[in-house]
Amino acid sequence: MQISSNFTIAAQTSHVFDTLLDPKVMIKCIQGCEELERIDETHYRGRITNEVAHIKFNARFAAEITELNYPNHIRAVLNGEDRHLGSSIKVTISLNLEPTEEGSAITYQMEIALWGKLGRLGESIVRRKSLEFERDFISELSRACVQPEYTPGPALSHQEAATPESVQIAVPPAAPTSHPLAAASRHIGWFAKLLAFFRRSR
Amino acid sequence: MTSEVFSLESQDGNAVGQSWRRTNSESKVLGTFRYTADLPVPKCLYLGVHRANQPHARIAGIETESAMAIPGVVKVITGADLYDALGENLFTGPAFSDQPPLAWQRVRYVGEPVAVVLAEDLATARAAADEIYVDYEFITPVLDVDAALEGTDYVHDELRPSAVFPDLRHLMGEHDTNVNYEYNLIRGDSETAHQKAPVTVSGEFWTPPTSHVAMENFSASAWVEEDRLDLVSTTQTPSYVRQAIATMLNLRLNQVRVRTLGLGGSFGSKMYDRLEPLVAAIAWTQKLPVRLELTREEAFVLTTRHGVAVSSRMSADANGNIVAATADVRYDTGAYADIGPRIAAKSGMVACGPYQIENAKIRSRCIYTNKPSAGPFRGFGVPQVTWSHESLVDDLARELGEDPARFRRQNLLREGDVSPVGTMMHSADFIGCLDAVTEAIGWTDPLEKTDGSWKWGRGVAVGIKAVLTPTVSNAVLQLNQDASATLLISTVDMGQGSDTIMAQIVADVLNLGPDMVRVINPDTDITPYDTITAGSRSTYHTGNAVKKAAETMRDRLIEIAAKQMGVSASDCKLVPGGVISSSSQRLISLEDLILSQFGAAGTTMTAEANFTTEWVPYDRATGQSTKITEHWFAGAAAVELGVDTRTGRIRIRHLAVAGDVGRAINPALVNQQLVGGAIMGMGHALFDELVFDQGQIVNGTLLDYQLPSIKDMPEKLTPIIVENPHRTGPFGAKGVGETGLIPIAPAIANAVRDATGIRITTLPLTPEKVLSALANRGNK
Repeated sequence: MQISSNFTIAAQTSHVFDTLLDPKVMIKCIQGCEELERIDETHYRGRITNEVAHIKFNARFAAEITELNYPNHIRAVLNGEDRHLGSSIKVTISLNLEPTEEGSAITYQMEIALWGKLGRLGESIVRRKSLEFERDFISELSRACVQPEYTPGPALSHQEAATPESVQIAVPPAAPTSHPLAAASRHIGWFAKLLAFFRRSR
Repeated sequence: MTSEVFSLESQDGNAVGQSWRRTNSESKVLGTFRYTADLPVPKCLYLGVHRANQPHARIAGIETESAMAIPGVVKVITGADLYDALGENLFTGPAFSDQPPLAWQRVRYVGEPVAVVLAEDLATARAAADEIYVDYEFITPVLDVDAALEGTDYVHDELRPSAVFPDLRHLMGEHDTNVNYEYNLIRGDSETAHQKAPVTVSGEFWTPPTSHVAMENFSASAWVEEDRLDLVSTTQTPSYVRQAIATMLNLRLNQVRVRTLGLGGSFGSKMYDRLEPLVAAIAWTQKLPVRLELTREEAFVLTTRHGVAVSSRMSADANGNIVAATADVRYDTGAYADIGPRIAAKSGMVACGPYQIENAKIRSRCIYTNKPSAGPFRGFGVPQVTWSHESLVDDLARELGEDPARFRRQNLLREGDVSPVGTMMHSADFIGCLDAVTEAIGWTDPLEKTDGSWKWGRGVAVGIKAVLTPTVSNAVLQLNQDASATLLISTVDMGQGSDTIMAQIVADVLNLGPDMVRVINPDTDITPYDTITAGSRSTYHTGNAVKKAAETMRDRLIEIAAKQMGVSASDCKLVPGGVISSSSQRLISLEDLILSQFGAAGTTMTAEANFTTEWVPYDRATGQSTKITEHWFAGAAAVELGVDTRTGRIRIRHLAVAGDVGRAINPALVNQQLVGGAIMGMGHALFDELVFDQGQIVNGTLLDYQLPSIKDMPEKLTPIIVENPHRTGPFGAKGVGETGLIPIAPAIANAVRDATGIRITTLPLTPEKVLSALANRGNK
C-alpha cells in the first residue's frame, strides 16, 4: 500500500526538521509509543501499543535511517512485529521539506507492507486509519513547532483536527538553527510519522 | 433467473440419455449426506498451524515454549523436525518436488505453514499455534511476474523437477531464475504475417488470482496401523496422494491407504498435495493419530487460481481471415510450482484460440513469486488465455467492420483441420456451439442500445480446451447374484455427478434399472488406480473403463447362458430381465444364471477393465505434436447485457452457454454443469479477485471476497447441449465440467464493448473499473 501526502507548517524548515528529529518531543506526540531507544547513529528500536479495527496489538519495532540530507530529506525503513498477533509491518518512508512563504512544505511517500492478522484487515481500513493518524499527528507537530515550551495536550477529535492541507498555525517561525548531519541523525522524531500507524484510536 | 426445467424422472429403456436422479441427492438436500470429515476415525490429536507472516525470509529461530506451556498441548513440530526424519523426501509436488509441508529454513509466502501444535482439542491447538514465535531474517520478496522476470531475487535457489513428468527432468538444478517452465508454440512465420496484414490488434490482458471457495472446507486425518498409514482426506486425487505419501515416507504403495467420500465441491482446489503430506508426515513420524481441519481463512492461502498476464497480438487479411497470432503468457504460480508447469503448457497450446491460424507464436511461462501457491482451477489455465484471444478476435472483427459472430464462424476450426499446435481436430463442434448460443439470445434481432443511462449490447465468445492426456483409468465391476452391481472406481464425485453417470453406463450395458448399480467411494485399498478426477476427463476416461468392464461382464454372462442353454454365444442376447436365446426364445434371469453357475446365493462375478490414453509429446522447440490430446472440448457463450453509465453496474439480461458434450449420458447433469460453469465464469468476469498487497491477501475472508449471489444471476440463463458424438467416447460422450466456464468472461466483456465502445482488458469488470474506463474515454 502506498500513501503520499503533503502539508504546510508555519515554521522555518530547519526548525521543523529539528522538531521531527527531537525524540523528547516526538515520543510525546505519538500516543501509544511506550519505548524508544537509539542503538547507534542510524538504528533505533522501540515498542508501541495500539488498536486498529478492534484488534489490539503490542509491537516491537526497529528502524534504520538509509538517507539523510539536512534539513530537506530523510529516508528510512521500519520493521515492526507483534509476536502474539503473528503480524509484522515494514514501512519505507521518504520525507522532503522545502521552505515556502508560509513556512515549510512537507511532502512524504510511504510504502507500507502489513503481513499477518493486521494485514488481513485490508487496505481500506488501514488507509482510513492512517488518514486519522495523519490529521492528529500534523496537529501535534504543528503545535510542537510553534510553541517554544511544547507539552503535548489531548489529541484533537476528528472534527477538530485540521486537514493536512490546511494546517497553518500563525506564529512566528523559530530562529534558524545550524544543525550538523551527525547531530541530526542522533534524533529519532522523524519516524513519528511511521509510528503514527500504531497510534491508539479513540 | 429463468432456465430450462430438467426432467429428473427415471424412464424405461436404455439408461444412457436419461436424466436419472443424482446419486445421494436426497441426503444432500436433507443434510444427512456423509462428507469426508464425517467419516469415523480413531480419536485424534488436533493440529493447529502456525503460519508465516513474511512473504520471504530465513527462519532464524522458532520459540515454542509458550505454546508447549498451554494445558492440552502434546507436541510442537517444525519443518526442521520433519526434515531430520524424512530428509529430502520432505519436498513434494506433482511437477516439482519443491514444497515442504512445513517451511524448512525459509518461508516463501505469507500464510505458509511453519510449525504445528498437536493438542487434545481443536481450540487449544489453534490457540497454542498463535503462541509460537518465529524469528525471521527478511529476504527481498518477488511480488509479481514482471518483477520475477526482470529482477535478481529468486524464490528458489534451484529448480527441482519431480519424477512424475519425465519431460521436466532437463530442468533439474537450473538456478538464477524464477521461470520454472516455458512452453513455446511456433508455427509458420508470425512476425512476417503480422507485418503484411492490413489489420492488427493487440492488448495487455490480466486475469487476477481467484479462490475456489468450495462449500466444503478442507480436512484430513491420518494414523498408523502397525506398519501402515491410513489417511482420510478431502482429495480429488486419491491415487496420486497414495503415490506421493508412499514416496515421502519411503513406504510400499500397499502400506498407504487413502480414502475420501463425496466432496462438497472442489473446482481443482483438492488436487495433489494439500493437507495430506503434512498430516501423513506428522502421523508417521510421531506414530500418533492426527487431524487437521482448516478455517476458511486458511483455505484462502492453501491454493489459488493462477493470476495471468498476457501480451498478445492478432492480425487478419482483407478477406477476414485471421493470419497471425502471438502471445506472451505469464502464469503467476506463487511460491511452489504445484501443477503450474503443466498448466502453462496445456493452456499455452490453445492461447490463440480455436481458429485456423497458419502463423502463430506463443510463449507461455510458469513463474515463481512469493505468494500462495497457485494450482489447478476449473479450466486448467485456459480461461485466462481465452480472456485474451476472445477479446482480440472481437476487436479484430470490429476493426474489419465484421459481425463478431460471423467473423468467428469464418475462422473457426472444423473437423479435419489442423490446429495451430499441429494436431488434427475431430469431434469438436465449435460452429454448432457458436450458432446455438447466438440463436438463443437473438443475436441478429434489433436491440435498443440506449435506455436512459443504460447502454445495451451483445457479446459472444468461443472456448477450446484439450482433455488431459495421457491418463489412466481402471474399473472393477462386481455383478452380484441378485443382479445388483457394485462398481469400484477411484473417480471422486464432488458434485459433478460422476457416480450417477458411471452407474448409468453400467446399467445401460447390462440392462439394469436405477438404483441397481452402487458406486464405491474411492479407497486405495479397494478401488483401482485412476490418474485424477479433474479436467473434465472422467466421463470419457473412467467412463470408457467402466463401459469396457461392463461389456466384459455382459460377454461373460452371455457365454455362461449359452453354455447353460446349449446354444452358441452368438445366439444369445442380454435383455432387460436376463439373457435370451434368439432361437429358442428361452430367457434366463441374471439371478438364476449366476446362482446356477456358482451353486450358491450371494455370489459375485467380477470384471475389470483399463482405459489408457496416449499422446505424442510436443516438440520442445516448436510445441508441435500430431497428437497433443485425446480430444478437444468445444464451448461458446453469448450474452445480452446492460451497462449503467452512471454507476458502472452491469446487468445481464440473457446468458446462453453451449457445450459439445459428444453425447449427454445424463442431460440434466450436463445442463447443471453448463449452468454451474457459466455462473462461476460470471463470477470471474464481474466479482472474483484475490487482492494482494506486498504478498498479503487482504480480502481472504468470505466477508471480503466477492462472489456472485442469487441476486446477481442473469435474468435468463440458457444451457444448450450440443451433441456431436465422439468417435471413441463411451456412447459418444465426453466431459463438460469446464466447457461452460471458459468463454463466459470474454463474452461479457465483448458485450460491454458493444454497449459502450470500451474495451476493458483486466478482470473483474467491477463498477469502479467500468466507471473509470468511461471517465477516461470522456477525458480523451
